[in-house]
Amino acid sequence: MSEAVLSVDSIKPFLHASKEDLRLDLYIKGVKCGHCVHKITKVLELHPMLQRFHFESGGKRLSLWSQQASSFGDLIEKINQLGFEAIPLEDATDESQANRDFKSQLKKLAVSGVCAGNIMLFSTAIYLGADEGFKSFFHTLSFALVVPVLGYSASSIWYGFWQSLKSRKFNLDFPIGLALLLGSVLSVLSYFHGLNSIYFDSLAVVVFLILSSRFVLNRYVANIYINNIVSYVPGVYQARIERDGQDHWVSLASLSIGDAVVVKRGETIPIDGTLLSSEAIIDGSVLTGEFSPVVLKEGALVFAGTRLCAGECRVRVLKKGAETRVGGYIQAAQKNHRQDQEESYRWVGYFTGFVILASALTFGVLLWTNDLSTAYQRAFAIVLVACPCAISFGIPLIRSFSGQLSLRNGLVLKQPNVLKKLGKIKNIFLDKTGTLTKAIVRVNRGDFMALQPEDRAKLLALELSMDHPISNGFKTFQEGDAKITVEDFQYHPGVGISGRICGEHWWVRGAAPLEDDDDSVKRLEVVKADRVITTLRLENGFKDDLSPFLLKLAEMGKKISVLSGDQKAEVEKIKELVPPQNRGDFVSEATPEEKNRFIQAAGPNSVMIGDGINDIAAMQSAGLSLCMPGALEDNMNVADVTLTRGHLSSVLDLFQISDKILLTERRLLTFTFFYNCLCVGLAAFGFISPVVAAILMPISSVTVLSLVTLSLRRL
Amino acid sequence: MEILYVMVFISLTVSFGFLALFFWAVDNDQMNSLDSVSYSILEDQNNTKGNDDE
Repeated sequence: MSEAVLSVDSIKPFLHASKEDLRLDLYIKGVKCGHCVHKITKVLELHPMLQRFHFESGGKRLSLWSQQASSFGDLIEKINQLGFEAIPLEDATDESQANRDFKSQLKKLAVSGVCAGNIMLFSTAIYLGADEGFKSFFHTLSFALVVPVLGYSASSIWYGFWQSLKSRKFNLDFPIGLALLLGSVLSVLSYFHGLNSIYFDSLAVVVFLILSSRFVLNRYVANIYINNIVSYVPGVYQARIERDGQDHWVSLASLSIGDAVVVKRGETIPIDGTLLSSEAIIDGSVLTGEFSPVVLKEGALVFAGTRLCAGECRVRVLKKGAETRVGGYIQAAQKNHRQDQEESYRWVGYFTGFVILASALTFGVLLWTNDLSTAYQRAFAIVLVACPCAISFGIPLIRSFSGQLSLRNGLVLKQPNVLKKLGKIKNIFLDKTGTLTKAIVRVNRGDFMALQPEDRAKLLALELSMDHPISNGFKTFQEGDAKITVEDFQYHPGVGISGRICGEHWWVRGAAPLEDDDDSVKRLEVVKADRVITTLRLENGFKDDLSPFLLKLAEMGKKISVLSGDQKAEVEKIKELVPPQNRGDFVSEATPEEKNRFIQAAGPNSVMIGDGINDIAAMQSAGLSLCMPGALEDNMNVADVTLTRGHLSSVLDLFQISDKILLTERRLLTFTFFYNCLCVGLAAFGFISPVVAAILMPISSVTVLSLVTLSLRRL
Repeated sequence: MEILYVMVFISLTVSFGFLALFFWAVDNDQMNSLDSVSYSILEDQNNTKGNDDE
């Protein structure tokens, strides 16, 4: 990551200072198992300045304590040398707040556990026939012990209950809070009037079980998120600035708009900004998918996540972090997650309303036909046993998984309902150029091997002097380290590259194709000391995975169409790859208007996959649109899904994720429906007591989580 | 049977004693890392800095 040890200034914004020492939290990218943790532990153990350390989240999160900030930079460097990437974590405020919440949860859980345990012992004695004196004594003790449970441990439930009342919207805490309130009032009144309807034991145990299940769930969900949050933030969290003639690494947080950032060859640009250097060769494939580097002049816009191919440049900061273009993609994914959560909260409200109605009806009927105690017990059991887990966190968890899976597969979803819509897609319309053709060229091996070995080595040295799609085409011929020095290397945009090798001037530049060459073939001529020594064929045909891609779509029962502005012969080649029964419209030399017309005729269950300006209208009309890497900005704005990788298999991944997600959602909702019908019925007829209901509550939650994780693990 | 009153008092005292100890442990960050203690088994030397010593 860095060439030098990180400076104290760069780490300062991440440090958490206490009276005794300094703490730095790191996310360790690349930790997969206990052995990885063991390797890092050895390094930490040997460091003389480090006081202590903590691993969390399966070793992916590391906290370090030291009295000297300088030791942290050294440690990060050492961890990085082991092959991991140590990323300082910000949000010190959130972290300490999260830590306070965690401690508070533990304490509340402990109080409820200790009190409920003791109350249950007293209750057992009462149920087993303790005499009146002890009965009264145990009731008094139970009353004393239930006060901290209801007053302190259950405070989060009361808070949720109060919020529900204030906003006049049902939430999960409303029925539980209502039942606890009624139970408490009933029990206290019975206690003072010497009646039998005392439920201190049930109330305390229920609070303990609810807090336990919530604690376990919070830890589980937190672990899922911590493992993924940092992974999808662009791999940049620091920037290099020049100060007093020396380079310093600083955190993105400490950068200001207008600062000048220094970027060196091969590094990722950390911010969106304007180029201050006279020229820079930028690889923007992470955003556009276009593998050809572009030469940008002073004043041009450069974007976070793109890479500098050669030399060094300075960039003035315009936007940083979430405000950058790539940060916007991450924000879009997070927004989808929030929308999913809001939708699920709305459904939780409906569900809770239904549970309260069922509970109130049971209470009313039993009060009429039986007694107050039976009516309350059964109504309370219904409230506790009803499980909205699938809606409240099962569905959001699935959607969150789907967002992460999509990102991992190079798919940025801009709408939350894309996966649902994808399940209904019948017609697939494909653009040809850029969508089905390769973005990377391949150098013909025979032509290359025909050169003298000495010339091959020199040509390789020249080509590998920069990152370029054509240079990448030569990488397959690389054998070991030749150690040939290229002097006076120059990149001539649109022409080629040149340099001096062993005193001879070399050129590699575009050449006219020969008569026998296929349309998809381009040629390069290699010039050594002003003499053309060979011409190399560059092959840029259909993507390698085109045939299996089309066959897989056909297998899925999709109707495949190609709308291309190219000649008929090219479109016919694709048609031959599609099984006859799945062939739709194969249109060559299509205008944008024609493409749009075909999409409109196909109806809403159609998807358009394209990348060019002639696809924009069709993409807008389609039920769903996918944008290939290398597409124009306008295509990206219109598309529902942007692909960041050029493989056609990414499209298949999207269909696969959609199928799996929809299937898991259906399974989950079916389970929830039958579970609730059965358990609410049993509770209404007195087969499930409040305590048993409280035990079933976390079990059903764990079942929901297991269903989700087991179903999605295979993806 | 009056001994029961004493027993109940002792049991409650012990319970709340443990509760107080637990509060102390939480306040001193002893519970911050619940899922990494398992890694300590990999260490074959005296670990003087890691979380397992706290």
